[in-house]
Amino acid sequence: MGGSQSVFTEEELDDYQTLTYLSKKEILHVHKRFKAISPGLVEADKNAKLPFTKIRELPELKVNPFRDQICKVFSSSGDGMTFEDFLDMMSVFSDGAPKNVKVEYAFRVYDFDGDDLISDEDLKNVIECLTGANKLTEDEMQQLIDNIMEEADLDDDKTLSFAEFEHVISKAPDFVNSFRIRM
Amino acid sequence: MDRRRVYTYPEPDNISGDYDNSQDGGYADDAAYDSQYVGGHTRQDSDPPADYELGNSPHVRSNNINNNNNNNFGSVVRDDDRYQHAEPRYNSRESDRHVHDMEEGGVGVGGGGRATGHHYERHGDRRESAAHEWLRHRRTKSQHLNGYDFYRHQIQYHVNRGFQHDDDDNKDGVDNHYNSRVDNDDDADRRSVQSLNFEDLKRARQILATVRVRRKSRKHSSRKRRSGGASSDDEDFVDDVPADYDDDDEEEVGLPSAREKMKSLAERLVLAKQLQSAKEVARQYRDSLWALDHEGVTFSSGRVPKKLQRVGGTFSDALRVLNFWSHQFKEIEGHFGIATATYFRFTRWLVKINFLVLLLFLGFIYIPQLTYSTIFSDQQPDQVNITDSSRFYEETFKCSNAYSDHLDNITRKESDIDKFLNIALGTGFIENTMLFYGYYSNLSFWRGQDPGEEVFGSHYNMGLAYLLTVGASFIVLFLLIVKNSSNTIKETVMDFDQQAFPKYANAVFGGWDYCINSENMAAFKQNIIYKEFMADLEEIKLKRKKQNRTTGERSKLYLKRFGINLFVIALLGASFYAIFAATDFLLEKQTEQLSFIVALLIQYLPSIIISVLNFFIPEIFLKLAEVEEYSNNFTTRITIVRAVFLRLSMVGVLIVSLYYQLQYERERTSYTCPEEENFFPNVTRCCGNPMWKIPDSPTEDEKGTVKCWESYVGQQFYKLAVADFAAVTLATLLLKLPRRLVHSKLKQRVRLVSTLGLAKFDLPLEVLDIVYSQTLCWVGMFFTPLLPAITFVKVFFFFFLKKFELLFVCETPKNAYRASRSYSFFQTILLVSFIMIAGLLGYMIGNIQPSKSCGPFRLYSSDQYVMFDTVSNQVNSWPSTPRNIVKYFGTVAFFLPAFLVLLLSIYYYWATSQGYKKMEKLLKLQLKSEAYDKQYLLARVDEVIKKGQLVTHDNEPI
Repeated sequence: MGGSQSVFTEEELDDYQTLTYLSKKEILHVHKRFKAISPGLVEADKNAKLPFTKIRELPELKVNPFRDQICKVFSSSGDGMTFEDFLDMMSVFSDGAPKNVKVEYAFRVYDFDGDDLISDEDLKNVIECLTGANKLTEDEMQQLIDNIMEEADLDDDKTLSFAEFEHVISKAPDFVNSFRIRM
Repeated sequence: MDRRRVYTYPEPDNISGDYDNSQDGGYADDAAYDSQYVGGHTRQDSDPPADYELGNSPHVRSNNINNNNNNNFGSVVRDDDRYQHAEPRYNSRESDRHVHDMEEGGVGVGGGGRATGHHYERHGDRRESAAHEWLRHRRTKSQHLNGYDFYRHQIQYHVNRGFQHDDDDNKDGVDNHYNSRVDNDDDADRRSVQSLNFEDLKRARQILATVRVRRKSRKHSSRKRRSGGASSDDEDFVDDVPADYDDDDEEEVGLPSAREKMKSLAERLVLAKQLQSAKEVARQYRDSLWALDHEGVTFSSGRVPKKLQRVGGTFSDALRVLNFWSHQFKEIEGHFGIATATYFRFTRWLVKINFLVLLLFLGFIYIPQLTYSTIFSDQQPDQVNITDSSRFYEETFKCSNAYSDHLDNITRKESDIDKFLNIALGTGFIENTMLFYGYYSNLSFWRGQDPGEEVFGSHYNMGLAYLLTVGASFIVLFLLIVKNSSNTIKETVMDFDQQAFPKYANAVFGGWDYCINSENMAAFKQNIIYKEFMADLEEIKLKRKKQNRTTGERSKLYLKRFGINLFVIALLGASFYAIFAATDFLLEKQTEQLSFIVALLIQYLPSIIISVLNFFIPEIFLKLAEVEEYSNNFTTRITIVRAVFLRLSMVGVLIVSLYYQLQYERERTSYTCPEEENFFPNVTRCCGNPMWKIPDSPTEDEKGTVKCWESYVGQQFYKLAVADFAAVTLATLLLKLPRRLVHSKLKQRVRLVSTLGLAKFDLPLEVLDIVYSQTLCWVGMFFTPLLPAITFVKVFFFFFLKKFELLFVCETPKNAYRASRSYSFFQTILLVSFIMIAGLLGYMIGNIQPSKSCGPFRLYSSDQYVMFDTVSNQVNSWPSTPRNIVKYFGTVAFFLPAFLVLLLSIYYYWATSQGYKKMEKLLKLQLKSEAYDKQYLLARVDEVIKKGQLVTHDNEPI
């Protein structure tokens, strides 16, 4: 650990370790990555609030179509990410985080309009993000959304509540593997 | 109605509740609350849990009342207090129950149990959120109600408001009144619910939409207000974390969520500081988290495993420096996504299990064999026990000598070229090394000076050790495979159950691979996902087309498929015959003197044929499957299944043909057998080897004879393993790499080159390659004890070769394979091949006579000797009690009952699983009917709102 040890006191590290799913070494590594985003700002204040534009420079986020949503979900202040927000994000995306934590955050990421329900409109956004430059026609989109709703919408109200989302995720084995960022 | 069935939410007050005091009680409350919650909904006639009655839950009055909020259903009070309270006395549970009564009477579906499915879910979800926000669980209970409940309470409040005033002080009166009221309402409700038609549902949906919009607008306004003045944030911590508290209350005005939001790390830290101890928060946080049933798969619960995990985490921290795997994987996952990474995960796992087997072999076979003459006594130059002076000993002695003479003869004549040839073929001097079975001695050696005196504790029976090590390796391997597949077995089961699998939801919600960090791959992934969606949509059309097929078309298609299947079978049969003929040819040609190249070719003929067939036949299968008009998924699947069948059966065919030639066919031809003729003039099996030949003249080459059939079999697998290694490496370096170079140079100029493109990295076929290598290792392990070491190196090398191939040579896999599916599929193939091999080896150990001339089993103890007799003999030498116990396990008296018990338990589990399946269907139906209730009630809400009857308790319209 050596030099980077001095960034945090032992106490701070203990706190971070107990409150996240990461080990101390991983936390220091996360900080290193955080620092790499904007060395100047972080040098001055280890918990500096970096604007979203900078956070998006992280390679994993840069190519992620949901980057705006992720930033929104993990930012505690809404206009940038502090190291703690960043650490929280990496903790949730780490291998150690249990599935239910991941599901909770995934729901928020996919809930574009923030109404605690995944509606047709949210699904449309998700699919558009996923397909990128390739556009589905209106009909195809509707067909796809209908299919998803058929599978997941248990109570036929044409929206997915968190419970329904969680239920369908529990049956979708790929989720836990894919909702993960390696440090 | 019994008064005791009216439960309340024993939630501590946010405003006046004593925080510290409620820390312990809070969890008891939680438990009590849980059971009540479920109990309340399922309407079981149980008493309120003792926790609640005795617990230190403070009396609760929602702060909402004080706020004059219209969340009046939130006014939860305990039974005793409730009736001394002036306004509003609606226990939500009561109204809830009331609604239930109505529904029950009116809808007539689901009944009392209806709540289980849906409500349980909500309940579980609440618990999970509690894990992250252990503090917030004592918030106003409106959070636990979703929109449905909210409006239900609203209705109930207003519907019942009229008569509720009269009965304030009399609990029974209220109940009675409710009951009568329910009865009165019943008729009307039943009528309207029964007449609920599609139009109503549509309307209900519209209403839902309006409600949602209203909620959103409220949220906006509250947000604005909050940003205006957030000065009241600094309240006492007893009042919980105030910053977003008011905000949440506002949010709940609209459509309350069933869910509690998780706290961000910063908030958790603030809490931790307030509590003076981060550990305390974490403890609570984790307690509730780990107490959760993680889908029933995680066996660890409580704090101890977590602590262990921490300790383990510290260790792995230290090890991480050495662990270069994680770096490898980051690169692969970042560039190619997790589906491709599963291939590498699988390879890494194979490296690990091969290493384990290697260790076992090293400890119990290699080292004892290497050291017996140096560390242990070296007074037995013939590597044979001299303790036994019976006929068997003498036979063994003669046979061993004959075999070593034969080997000496060959080795002496060896030229340099021959030496190289021998390394490639495993014959000659190589045959007399640790690589092959024949080299191992049957020596039981002692540490003592006098070999005749057995010193207890230093006795080492090589034959027994050999057998037990192989056996132990197989058991360890089996356990490892099962353990590894148990992680994925659930997914496999769900895979088979196509109807339950949410294909589209999985593709959308599990679609993006968050590991990806390369822009190329990101664009590529989007392309893949797009194609996958299109293929899925296409499939729907295909399904429709399928339904619309005429009988003529259908019969034509079936005929076509039948023809193709016949062709596939013919193709497989031809391949098998080719291998069989090649093995036969090899044995025949062995006697002839041939030039270097021809000899090498002939020796490698079966391996070459297998490699070539493996290269071309799957391609043919792929083309055939396209014609068959199966669905996309099924096309991939059937191609893989056919390829697997081809691969694994080839090994099988090779074994069968070896068996046929070495054991069965030659038994009928008799050879002169000088080594044994002193004892039995008419023996047909010479020294346990049916192909033992004696040269007519001493000058003649001895190549045609097999004097140690185990080593011979070992040589075949050694050759296969080497051929496989060479084929994979050469294919990458000599075919794919030049193709890449040519492609990058000429793709602009030559049309053909650009259409051919780059080599594809086809995941299932690549996996099949590596499973095949592993299968070879297992099947040849007994005959070629060094094969685990070779395979270890091979698989390790393949990991980097394939990585190189992916990064620089091949195109990224075009097909979107689901990571989990492919991984469980690999495991299944591996398990199947493993079981086949274990069966074959077991048969051999229990039924076939080993060679007398070589190997650890050369000294017989009877005429019907088989390898397993080593173990039986050992057991027989034990004192009677343990011997009898062991023998009992081999009797019918043990097997029959054990078998029956096994059968019965299998049947039991099968029946249970069927029951669960049925249950699931019923619960789904219940959910649907519940949903109709909800929509109906929402329609009612709308009606009430429209009529302007909905007012707050201050008589202000909403």
